[in-house]
Formats: sequence, structure tokens, C-alpha cells
Amino acid sequence: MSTPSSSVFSYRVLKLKSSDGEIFEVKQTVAVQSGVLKQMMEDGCTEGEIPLNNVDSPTLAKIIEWCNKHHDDDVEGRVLSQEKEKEKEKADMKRWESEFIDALNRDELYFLLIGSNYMNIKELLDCAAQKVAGMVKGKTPEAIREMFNIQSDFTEEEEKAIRKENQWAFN
Amino acid sequence: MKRKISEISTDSIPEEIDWISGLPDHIIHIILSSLSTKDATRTTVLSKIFKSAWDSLPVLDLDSTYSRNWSTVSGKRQFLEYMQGCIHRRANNLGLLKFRLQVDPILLDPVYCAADEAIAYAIVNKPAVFSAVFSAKTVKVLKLNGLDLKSLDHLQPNSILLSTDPVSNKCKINLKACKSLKNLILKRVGLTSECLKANLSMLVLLENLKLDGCDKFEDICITSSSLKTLEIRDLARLKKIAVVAVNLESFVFGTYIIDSEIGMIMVYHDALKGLVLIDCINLREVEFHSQNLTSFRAFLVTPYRELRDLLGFFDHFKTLAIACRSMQCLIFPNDLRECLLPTLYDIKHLRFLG
Repeated sequence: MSTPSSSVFSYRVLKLKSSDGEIFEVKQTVAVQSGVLKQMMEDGCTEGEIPLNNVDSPTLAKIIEWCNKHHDDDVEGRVLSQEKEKEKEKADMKRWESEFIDALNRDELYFLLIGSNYMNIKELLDCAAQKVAGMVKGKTPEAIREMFNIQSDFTEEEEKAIRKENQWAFN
Repeated sequence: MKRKISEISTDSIPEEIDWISGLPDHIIHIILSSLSTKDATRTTVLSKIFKSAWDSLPVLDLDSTYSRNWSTVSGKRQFLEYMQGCIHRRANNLGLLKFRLQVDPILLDPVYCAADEAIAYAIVNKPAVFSAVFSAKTVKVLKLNGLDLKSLDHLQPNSILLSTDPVSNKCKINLKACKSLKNLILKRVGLTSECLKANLSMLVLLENLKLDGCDKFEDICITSSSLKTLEIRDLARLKKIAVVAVNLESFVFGTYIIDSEIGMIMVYHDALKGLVLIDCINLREVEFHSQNLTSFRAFLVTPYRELRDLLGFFDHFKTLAIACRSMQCLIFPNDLRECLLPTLYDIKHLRFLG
């Protein structure tokens, strides 16, 4: 990490315990991407196992994979001198992100949304939410309902009224 | 959190759980914010969860160009109702991250009222509105309360009424983009004299300016060749006013604040037709060289002697109205009446207003 104080953490490792009891070891420099873990580190309460009751082991593995990839490893002395290199790196990262998200099935995506929200990893949450938005984009309500198995809880009249109010969007 | 769903299968099975409706509101908000307004609007029909998420979304995007229908004469009523519906369904203390309003110029008056309402709504939800993208080319009158005007790039109203509540009397405005502005009213706005001056220099078409209760102004220098009416009221700390406005037709100056230090006003304008001074208790000297002045109203506390001198300045007037709080000052002592010469030669109508 770029902040000097965090370099102290670089060799420390956090033990994260998933909801199903599996332990994951994560470098502190990687874990700071989670707002929740960062706060815990600042408060100095990261001793022992940190239980993450809302995140199961497959999801936590995915989240850690994401964080490892996005971990800013300046502390290892790597310096990007060229603008071009930086841009290429950015484009590579974008590609990696979309591959990472696209590879998820629907349920994995759901647990990733919940998990990244719980651990407060904004970039991952945004990326996953954007994936859902992409799935919704341009589809009719019927298609969306089918895709996500949404049961309408409107009466026929209610639905008709909403459609009428927002008629422009349905044309 | 149990992971039953994915353990069953990753393929879609009809009896699967509706997982998207189980997401917290703010995640649905992030999803909706990533969609176009049209796509996001369509989700309102999915289920009650989506409907309520939509109605609490901190993004309000009202644009009459979204539907071709709305730009027709018969369709403008629909847009009006749609706009009002969007605003009325939303809670008033939601807070907005983004507010966007665009109204097709073809849509006339009734829509402007709703546009006003929409802007008023946005302003109530102000904390994040400051990053708002305003793009209303047609809004003519903008009434803003408690808002820093920083991003008005696409908004070019004719009139701006800006007021802040007295408690948070701090404001910065930048009207650079409002080059066509004709009317500007600043009410209780904590602007500095420098900021006012910088803004006025950019408003080359400004015709009417009203400054009311802006207590940071100490020294006002107004230079404008377009200005026709100027009204200045209740500027508690004002010490000096200088007005250089060749086309000024009317100037109203009023102060109700007892300890106002203003003691002198000078106005040199040939075009000036009306001048009103209200309750300027400490005003010692008014000097105006305005040959075309046809109306002058001074609300002053003046003993009769000074009144007489004052009236002398109006000897070429045809009509004069004198308003007094008390008639006492108009009564000249008996012994003086005989020896004083009349001061008003040309006067045909003289009115006293109580």
C-alpha cells in the first residue's frame, strides 16, 4: 500500500474464517481493500480468527482472488514509469475483471454481491452490480422476471397502473 | 448465509429462489444507477421491492426528450403528470446524488411550473445536489434556496432568485454561464462585495437587480450598462454605494436597520426616472444629478426646516407626493409662514401620504 503506516502490516497475515468454518490467510496489505477489515486493523482487533458470518468459503475464495489481483504492490518496489504501461495495465485489469465476473454463475454472483457488501469492498460491489445491470439492460420485465425468478406481488390493476404511468419506458 | 441454491445446481431450475429481491435496497440502487433511466424505469413493474427501490433512488432524471410523444402538444400533459408523479411519490428528505432536468423548448408554460417544482424538490434534498448535472435549457426562472451555484453550465434562466436561510448564511455563486440573465434577486445571501462585483461584470444583459438583506456587503460598486432597475434593501453593514449605470431608470434604496452606517448616497444618471429612499435614518446627504427624474419618494424623518430645503430641489417638478409617518414635521410654525418664500414654483399637484 502507498500509505507509510500500512507498510508495517505488509508481512502480517489476517486469518479470515468463512461462515462454513474454513480459514483463509490474507496479507494485511491485501485485506485493507475491505472497509470492514481496514477498520478492524485500525482499531487493532485483528488478533486470532476473524469470523465473517455472511460469507461462505467459495465466495470468500473469490473475494480474496479479486483482492489479490487488485492489491497495489508498490511496497515491493515496482514502479511504473511509462504512461503507456499504466494504461496497458489498466486495460488488462479491466479485461481480467470482466472475465472474473463473467465466469460466475448467477448464484455465485449473488453471494459475491452480498459478500462484497458485507465486507465493504466497493470496487467489487460496483463491478458485480454492473454485471447484474448488464443482464437487465434492454430486457422486457417478463424476461427479467424469468431470468431472476422474480414473482410479481402486484395485482393486475396495480401493474396496469404502473405501466400506464411509465408508458414511455415500455415502448 | 446458507449456500443451498448453488449446491442444487447452477442451471436455472424453475423452483429456484428469487434471489435478487433478497438484496438490500442500496445494492438494488447501485444496480439501478448503472442502468439507463428507461431500463431502470421498466424495473418498477417487476415487484414491489423494485418499485420502492426506484422511488427511493437518489438519482432523479427527468427528461422530456425520452419520449417522442411528450414533445407533441397533446403529449405535454402526459410529461407534466409523469414529472409530478415522480416527485410526489418520493420522500422529501431522501437526499439526492444526482438531479438532471431537461425540458424540450416546445413544451410551454404548464411544464415550467412542474420544472420549478422539480428544482424545488432537488433543492430540499440538497446535500449531494451540488454535484448535480443541471441541463435545463428552458427553465426561465430559477428560485434557489440555500444552494451554492457552481454548476449552472447548461442552465440559462432569465431570472435567478437566490436566497439562503439566515442561519447558514454562506454562499458562493458563479453565474458565468448565465450570460443571458436579465433578473437577479439575492436575498439574505452571504456574498462578499468582491464576489458580487465579479459576477456582475459577467452579466452583460442584466436589467433588474435586487439585493435584500445581504449583510456581508460593505462597499457596493455596481457598474453595468444594461441595468435598468436597482433595488437595495436592508444591507446592515453597507457603508458606501456607488452606482455607474448609464441606463438605470429606477433606484430604490431602503434600510430598516437603525444602526446602519450609510450616510451618503450619490447618484449621477441622466436616465434615472425613479428614485425611492426608505427609512434611511442616518442618511445625511443625498446628491443626485438626474435631469429626467420624474419620481422621487423619500421616506425620511425630517424636521420642517430640512423639509423646506429638500423641497427646494424639486422646484421643476409638476407632481410631488410626500409620505410622512407623522404630519408633525409638515407643520410650519405660524411666525415663519409669512416670511418664507414658496419653494415650489411649477408644482401643480402636491399630495401628502400619511
